[in-house]
Amino acid sequence: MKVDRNKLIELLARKTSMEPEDVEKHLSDLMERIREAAGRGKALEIKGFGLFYFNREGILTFDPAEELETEINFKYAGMDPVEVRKPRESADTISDSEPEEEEDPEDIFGLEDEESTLPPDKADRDEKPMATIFKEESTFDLESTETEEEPEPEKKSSDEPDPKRSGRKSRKEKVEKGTLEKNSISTIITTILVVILVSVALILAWDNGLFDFLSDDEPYEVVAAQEETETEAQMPTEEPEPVEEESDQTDQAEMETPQSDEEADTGNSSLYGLSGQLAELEGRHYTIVLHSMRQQANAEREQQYLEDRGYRSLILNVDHPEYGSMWRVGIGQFETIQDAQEAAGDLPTDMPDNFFIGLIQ
Amino acid sequence: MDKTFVKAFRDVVREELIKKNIIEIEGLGRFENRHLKQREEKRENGQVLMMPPRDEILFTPEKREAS
Repeated sequence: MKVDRNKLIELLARKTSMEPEDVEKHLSDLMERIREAAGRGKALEIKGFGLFYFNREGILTFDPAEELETEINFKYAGMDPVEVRKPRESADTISDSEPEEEEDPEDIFGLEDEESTLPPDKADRDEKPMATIFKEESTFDLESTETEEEPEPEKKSSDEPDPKRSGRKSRKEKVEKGTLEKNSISTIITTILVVILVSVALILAWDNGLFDFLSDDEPYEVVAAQEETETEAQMPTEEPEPVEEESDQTDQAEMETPQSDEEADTGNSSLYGLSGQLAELEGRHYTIVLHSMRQQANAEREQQYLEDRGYRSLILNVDHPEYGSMWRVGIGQFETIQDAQEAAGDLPTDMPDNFFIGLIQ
Repeated sequence: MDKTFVKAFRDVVREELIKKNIIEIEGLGRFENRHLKQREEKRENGQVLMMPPRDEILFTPEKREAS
């Protein structure tokens, strides 16, 4: 839906219980303020919303505040990058294209006097132009939120993360730091890890009679720590029905042909797939998360709906420090991310398209 | 300038963005909530990461801004 100016005025009038005419006046006022401040080469910040300024080309630019970015992303809270393939084990693992890398060691060793060693002009610049605003407690003093300094984009890119990108950046950095540490501890640990994982996978595979799978699939490696805690979340509250075996040998046969069309075999008991009944799977596998909700009841309703349509559906409960308990509704069980993505492409169009693949352990 | 008004403005736009609505304000520009699907990201070191999906706010200034 599109909210135009009139609709916005209506919404604002309702919110503030002002007369629409007053709202209109205020709105024009605010627009005026933004342009005027931006026109003077200043940035105007609306706290908790974002920053308006003219960039070098004279184009009005808006950098959303971090709160805003976080808020619209609450559904994906706690999702961290999942490593699909490990970095090559060589000396050049640290990509030299990332300047952040060089700064990291200083952070790690906690060089307190960093500031004093910098030339004064550098030190000044290191202070984010907007830092004072962000810290300011008085929520809404527009006068004081006008920064004295023009936020020059090129300066930002060199000295501080672009606020717009900061969310993604920090995630990246997290992963890169991990890589860095791993490398510094040397490849020994990686090797040990691989050996352990492989043997665990072997044991699991043996237990499940899945030995055939191993040959053509390297087990996935290390996942970002948070993803792991997240997906430790239990399987659905209602116990998945044990796989019904029509005859003793069916199960084996199914496993040897995991590529059998998953859409077709509704009610059949293959281990992975989009439809059918939930299989009790041990070890890592994936699901397509369709919904992320705050209400358990809503999640259960969605799950029931999917089940009624013949899909495997499960609920993951994720505790997030900021947003509390999140209930994620997943569809299908898949052996690999690729399988899950492939299946996701075949989902009916009436299903949400902003799904993501979740890891279950 | 009325603080309550600015606050209300912020909240309303925020709420609408969360609802995935597009907010188009004449004289300023348009805000929209753009969804970025999860995607694989390849690093130079051969590492492949599955980046989680995210939403981002896209602001498009009104045309005459370019002057």
